[in-house]
Amino acid sequence: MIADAVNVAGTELNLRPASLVMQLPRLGSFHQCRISFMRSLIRRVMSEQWSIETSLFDLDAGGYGTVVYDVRAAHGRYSFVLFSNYLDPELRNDRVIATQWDLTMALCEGVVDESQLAALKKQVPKQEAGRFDSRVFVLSRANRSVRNFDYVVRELSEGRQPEAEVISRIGYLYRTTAVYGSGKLGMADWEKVNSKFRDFSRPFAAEMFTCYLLRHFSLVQADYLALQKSPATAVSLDPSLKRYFGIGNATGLGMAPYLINHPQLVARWVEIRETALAMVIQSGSANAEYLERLRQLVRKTIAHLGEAITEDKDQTAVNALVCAEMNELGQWLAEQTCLEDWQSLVIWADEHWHPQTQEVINTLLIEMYPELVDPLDESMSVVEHLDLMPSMPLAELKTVIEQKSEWALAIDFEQPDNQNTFWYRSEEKLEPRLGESGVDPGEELEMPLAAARSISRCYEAVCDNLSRRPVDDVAHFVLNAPEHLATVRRVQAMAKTYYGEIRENLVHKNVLPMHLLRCKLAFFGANKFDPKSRLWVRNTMYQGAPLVEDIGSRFDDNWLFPVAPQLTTQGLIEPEFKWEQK
Amino acid sequence: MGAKVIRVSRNELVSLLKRVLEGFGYPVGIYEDAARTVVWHEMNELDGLEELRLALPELDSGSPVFPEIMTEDENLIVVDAYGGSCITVGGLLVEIACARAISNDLAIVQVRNCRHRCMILERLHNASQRGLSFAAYWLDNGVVNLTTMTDAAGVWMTYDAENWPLGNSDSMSIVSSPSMMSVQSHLNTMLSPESRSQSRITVGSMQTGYERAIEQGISVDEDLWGQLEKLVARILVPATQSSRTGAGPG
Repeated sequence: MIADAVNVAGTELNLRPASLVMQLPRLGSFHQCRISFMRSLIRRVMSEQWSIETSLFDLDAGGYGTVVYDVRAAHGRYSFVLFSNYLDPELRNDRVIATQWDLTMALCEGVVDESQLAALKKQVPKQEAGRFDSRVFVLSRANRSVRNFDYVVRELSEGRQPEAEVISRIGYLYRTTAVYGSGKLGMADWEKVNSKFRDFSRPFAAEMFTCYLLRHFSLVQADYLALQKSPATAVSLDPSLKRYFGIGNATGLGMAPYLINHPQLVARWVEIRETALAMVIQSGSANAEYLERLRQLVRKTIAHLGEAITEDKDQTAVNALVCAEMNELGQWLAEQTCLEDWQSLVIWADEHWHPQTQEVINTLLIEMYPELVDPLDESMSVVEHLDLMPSMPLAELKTVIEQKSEWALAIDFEQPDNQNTFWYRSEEKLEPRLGESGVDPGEELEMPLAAARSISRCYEAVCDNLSRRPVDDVAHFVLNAPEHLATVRRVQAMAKTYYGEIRENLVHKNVLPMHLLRCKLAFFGANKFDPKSRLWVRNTMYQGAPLVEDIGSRFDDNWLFPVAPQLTTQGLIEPEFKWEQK
Repeated sequence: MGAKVIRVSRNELVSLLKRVLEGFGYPVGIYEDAARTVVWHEMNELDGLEELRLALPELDSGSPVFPEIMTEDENLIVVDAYGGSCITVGGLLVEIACARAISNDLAIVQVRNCRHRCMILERLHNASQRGLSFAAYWLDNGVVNLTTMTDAAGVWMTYDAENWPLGNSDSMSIVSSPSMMSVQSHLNTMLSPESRSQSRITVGSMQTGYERAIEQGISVDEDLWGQLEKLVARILVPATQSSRTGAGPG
C-alpha cells in the first residue's frame, strides 16, 4: 500500500489512497468502529447520563398497546412513542411494500400531550401512508423475530434464562425494516434538527437513538409477557443476556441512492475514518500493553465471527477465511514483545490477507486508541454544496476529469456488460429497483445514479466542445450542454475532497449494491452482516451495547464485536476481553 | 373559506418538485436547481409555489427549452431564453454572469424572452454566497423590479417605469461583479435621481419566513400538492411480479 502524505490540522498524516479505499468491495468490507454513529451516540448518552423514563406503559396481556418514553438529554427533552399492534403472521413482511407491522414508533421533540398522542396513534401505524408534523424527528417500524421471541418469552415464563447459543443464531427480538427522518412525510427537516437540537446534531443520531429505544422496548416487552404468562414462575432476562440482544435490521436497495446522492458526505465519513487509522498507525504506541490489548481483541473477534451465522455461502466462506487469518495474526502477536509502530502489521496484512481481514485489523487498531480517535466523531457532518465554478476554463475541467476521474474514464461503456443494469423507481412506494437493460421495462425512466457513465459522457462532450471552441469556460459549456450541468459541478466539487467518488460502475451487469448498503451500515455501527442476495442484507444493531439501565454506571465503550455470555457455576458471565481505558 | 393546506417539510417539497420536473424532461442539474428555487421563494414568502402553479403548463410543454448566447463582448452578453422560465434556466443565466464577472470585473447579461423573472432571486442569492454581487432588473406590468444581492444583504424594490430605459416585457438584465460598487455604478447610469422605490423587501424579512418554515413546515395548497403528486407518476415504473423479485426490503 502506498499512502499519500496529507496535512490534517497541522499534522502530516499518511492517508491511504482513494484508488484503494474508494473501491466498492473495499468500502463493503468496513466494520463498525469507534466513530460509527451508534458508538458515538452511546458515548454521548452514557457520558451525559441521559434520563430515559417510562411515562406511559399501556400494554394488554398480549403485549399490545402504547408505550411512551420521556427522554431528558443534555440539551433537550424528547418523547419516544411506540405502538404495539397484533399482526397477522401472513402479513409479516420485511419489504418496504408492507402495510402493517408488529411495532411502529416515532421520536418527537418535547413532551407529547394527549392530543398529539391521539394524532400519532392514528398516523404512526400507517407509516408511509401517514402524515406528520415538524415536531416528529423519526418514524420507524419493526417486525418480530417470531421464533426467537416466542422462545425467549417461554423460557423466561418457565423460570429459565434462554440459552445464549440459541440467541446467538439471531441476536434480536425485533428487526426494523425502515427508519425515516430528514423531513420525510412532513417530519422535521435535518436543517431543523441539526441547528436546534444539539443532542441529535450528528448525522443519523436521531435515527440511531430511535433504534436504541426500540431495542430497550423489545427487552422490556419480553420480560413483561413472560410475567403475564406465568406470574408465579417468570424470571427477568439476565442483564448480560440483555446486552447480547441487539435490534435486527433488514436493508435493501432503498438505502443505496443516498450514498450516490450525497458524495461529499460519504467522502467525509471515509476521510475521517481513514484519518483515525492514519493517526493510530503513526502515533499509537505499539508497546507491550497495546500488544496485549490487540491480542484480546483478536480473540474476541474470532469468537464473534464464530457466532456469526449466515446462509449466504460467500459470506460464510469469508467469515471462515477472516477467522483463519485472525488466528494467524493471534499466533504472530504471541511472538511479539514490542513493536516500533503498527505500520509493519498493516503492510503484512495488505500483502498476505484478504481485504475483509485487513479492514477488521484496521477496525481493531482504531478501537484501541479512544483518546486519538473519539474526538473525530464531531467531524462527521459536512454542509453539502455542489457549486459550479463557472469561470474555470473548459480545458482545465478536462484535466480535472482526467486526473480525478481516471477510474471512470477507464470503463468502456461500449461494452454491453458495462451498462447492462438500470436503476428505477417502482410505483410501489417509489421503491428503487434494478432492471436488466433491453429486457425489463422502465429503462427510459432510469434514475441518474450511474456517476461513472455520466462522467465519461461529460468528458466526451467536453473534448468535443474544446475541439470547436477551445477557449470556452465552464459556464459556456453548460449553457450549451445543460444535460451535463450536474456532472460538471459534481466533478468540480468532488475534486476538492480527498477521497472523491465511490469508484464503481453501478450499471455493470454484475454490480453488487450490497457493498453500498454494508458500507453505510458500517458507518451507522451495525454488525453481523448477513447478505440475503446481492440486493439486501440483514444485520444487527446495538448488540453488546450498554442497556438503558446501565446509564450512570461505569462505561468502558468496548462493545465492538460482541460475544455471547457464558454459563458458569456463578451464572451467566460476559467473557473477559476487557481492558481498562485510560 | 380558505383552501385546504397541507404542511410539508422542505426536504419532501424539494424531492417532490425534482421528480415532477424530471417527469417534464428536464436534466438532473436543471431540475435540482429549479426545485430549490421554487422552495426557497416559498419559504421566504415570495410566492414560489404560486409562481410554479402558473408556470406548470409552460414547464410541461413536452420539450424543455434552454437559453442561447446571441452576441457577446468583453462585458455584455446577450442571451435569448426562447421563452424559457427563470425557474429552470435562471441558474444557467446567472452562471454566465458569474463567469464573466470573475474574469472581467463587470458582467451585464441581457436576456430576451424569459418568463417568471422574479424567480431569479434564489439563483442570485445562491451565487452571492460565492462572494459576488448582483443586480437584476426587469419590467413587469408597467413596474420596474430591481433586486440587488450580496453575500451579506439583499433587497427587492419596485419603481415607476417612467424613468427606466427598458426593453420589452419579457426581457431582463443581470449585472454581476466582485464589487457591489461596480454593480451600483452601473445601476446609477440606469436610475435617475428622482426615482423613488414603491416597495421594498429586504433579505432580513425573508430570513424570518425561512426560519419559520424550517421550524413549522411549509403550507402547501392541498389541490396543488395532489396535482404535483400525480405528476410524479410519470417517472415511476409499473410494478410487476418480476420487478418485485429480489429488490430486498428497501
